[in-house]
Amino acid sequence: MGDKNRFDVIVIGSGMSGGWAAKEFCEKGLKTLLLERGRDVQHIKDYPTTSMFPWEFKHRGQIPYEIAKDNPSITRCYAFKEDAMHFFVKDTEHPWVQEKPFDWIKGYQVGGKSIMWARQTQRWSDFDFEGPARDGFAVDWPIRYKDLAPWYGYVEKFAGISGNKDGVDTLPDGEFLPAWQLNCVEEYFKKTVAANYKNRHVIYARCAHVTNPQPVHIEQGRGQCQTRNICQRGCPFGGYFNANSTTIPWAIKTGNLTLRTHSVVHSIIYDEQKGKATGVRVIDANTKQAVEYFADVIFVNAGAINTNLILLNSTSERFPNGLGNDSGLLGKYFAFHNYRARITAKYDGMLDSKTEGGRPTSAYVPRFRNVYKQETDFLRGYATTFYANRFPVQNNENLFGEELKNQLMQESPKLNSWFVGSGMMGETIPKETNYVALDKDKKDEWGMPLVRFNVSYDDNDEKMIKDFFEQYTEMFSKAGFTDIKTSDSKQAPGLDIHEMGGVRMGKDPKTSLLNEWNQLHECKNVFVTDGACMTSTSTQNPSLTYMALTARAANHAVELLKKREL
Amino acid sequence: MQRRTAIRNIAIITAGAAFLPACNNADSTPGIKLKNISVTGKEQNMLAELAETILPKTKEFIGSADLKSHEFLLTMMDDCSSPEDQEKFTAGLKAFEENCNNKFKTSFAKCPAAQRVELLKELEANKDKNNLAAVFYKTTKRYTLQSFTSSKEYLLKIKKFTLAPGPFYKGCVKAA
Repeated sequence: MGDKNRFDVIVIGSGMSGGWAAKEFCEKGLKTLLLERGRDVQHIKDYPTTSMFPWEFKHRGQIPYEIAKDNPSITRCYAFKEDAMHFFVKDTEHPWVQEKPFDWIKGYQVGGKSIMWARQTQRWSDFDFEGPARDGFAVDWPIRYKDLAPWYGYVEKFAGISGNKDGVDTLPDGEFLPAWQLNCVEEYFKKTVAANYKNRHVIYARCAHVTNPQPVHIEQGRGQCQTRNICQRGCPFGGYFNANSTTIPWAIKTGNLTLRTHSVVHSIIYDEQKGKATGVRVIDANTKQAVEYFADVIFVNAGAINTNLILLNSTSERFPNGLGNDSGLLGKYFAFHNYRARITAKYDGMLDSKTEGGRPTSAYVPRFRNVYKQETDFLRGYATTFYANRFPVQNNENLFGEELKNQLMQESPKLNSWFVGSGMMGETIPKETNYVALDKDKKDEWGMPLVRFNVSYDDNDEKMIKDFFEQYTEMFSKAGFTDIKTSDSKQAPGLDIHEMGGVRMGKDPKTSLLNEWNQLHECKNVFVTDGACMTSTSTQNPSLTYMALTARAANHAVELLKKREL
Repeated sequence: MQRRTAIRNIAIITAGAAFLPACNNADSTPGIKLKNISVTGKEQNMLAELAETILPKTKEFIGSADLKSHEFLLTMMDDCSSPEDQEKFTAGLKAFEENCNNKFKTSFAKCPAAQRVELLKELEANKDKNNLAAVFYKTTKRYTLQSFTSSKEYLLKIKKFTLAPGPFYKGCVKAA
């Protein structure tokens, strides 16, 4: 072992949360090795489609049949289109075993899925952190909102979050850049909901877009969002947050970062004498050769599923069932968000109005079910999106020739009445029977066991969908919306791309894997701060919370290192 | 001798059959190369005529022939369609031509405008999802429209498309 393989900190994974760990450690002067299993993607330079016009795509966005046929899961992902397909992993490139259907959506490159994410950033509140304890599921979170609040602010200021101070206690306000407008019908819906219901709020959905660049964003080299709405390709303006434009270059700038790409982490090395982890074993993705790296602290940010995989595969005499897994719960209580349900309608009012320009977000309705007390026959609840828009009348039937062409040539085509809709974002209840595990026989091309998925919806989810349809049918009706249609996509878990848990936080080592600082209870120099650490799922898009948890845990690790306690 | 000729003929026919798709293409005018579907150069010309009939060039603005919309259609059918849809498309293409031949005793490409209109009106009205000619026509129309509305000329000149619209979103403006 040479010195060149020795670092202060190793961070596994360079995406949404790993980028933050790297930034925090490098800024504090620690020599940090950032391991990424995929290739490098440098901001702007490696966004090959970012400035392409629609007509420059051979298939105008569509995925060729040969690819779709062999890769059904990734093809179901809304963002897997011709313009961004190079940022997604095809099913065949890293297979998995589905005891029950699970669409595993993966992005293996520097920046991970932070390049293609949907950029919605809502804080959690104590109604979320206190949920498991109050309602008797999972285990109590070892932290509360006050523990995370300053870190939310810390990451919001650096990432750039657009939002309004709404004063809604289910969705705490943050450090916001200016919001875009809600449109007339969204404002109208907000008023009718407020008039008809107590504690139901229609607000602007906070999102990770720089609407008014602050000095810190300019220092990052980022500028104002130009509402291109093709963020999944990477943004030449740095208008939205991704690790590639923000945390990783910041870490590189310190001179303390070593970025090693094409590095599939096989396992974490545990030293029985020292009683702690000493490094990681890496398989070079190209040569398939194993190489070891060593550090005092290890952050696991491989993405929820791969984090579970690495820990389960990190076996030793002390930990025969996976690192830190005395409880036997590693991989269990795996959960996700229920995104199956949608409701749409039309509104025939305000026909003298329309919108102009685009906007990379929508309106948002924070959870209103079972907030102050249990009031339904299911646990927890759902947040929803809300959007309204007018589209041109497109009736081409029986038209061809000059008549059809004239219709297309109109500069201001006739508009339909308003189209409105809401998508449900339901909290699911983590259960021991929902788990990821290692396959005993099958291995991938890097010699890692395949992940087996046994994750499914339950009765609580079905009841919640029913309630969402009922409540929104009523709310839409009260607003005078008509032609109300509900739909249940029945999509498999995973397609929400909000996979969480398996290495949950908790107070008791017997019933959880991580403590209140995201350290493995039984191997304190290993931290998990990606989706795998989540004790419960709540309804909010989770990335902002991963970022805040990561910054908080990394700064705690620095304190412990200073005190020589790691 | 006769027997020998017969054998030779069989050999020629077999060899011919083996090269059938290539022969078909070589039969007439050249067209774009396709990987999965077989559409002769002559048929490709017919598609170009059909696309131009659906969205023709006018005084003010270019049409399908200028955009080579039939090549986009063929690319989409070749690359992005399932084998079942590809089969329906090529069978529908033949049914469409046959339809034209039965009605007007000539190919679509040679049909005068009035007859083309009559034919397309009929197919527009045909809601039978199993009618190969009608399904083929609607597929062709859909891709011809997509080619037109996603073209550089249309998006820049008519829709004033820009890749970076700017930071502003107006939630409530007067509808014309």
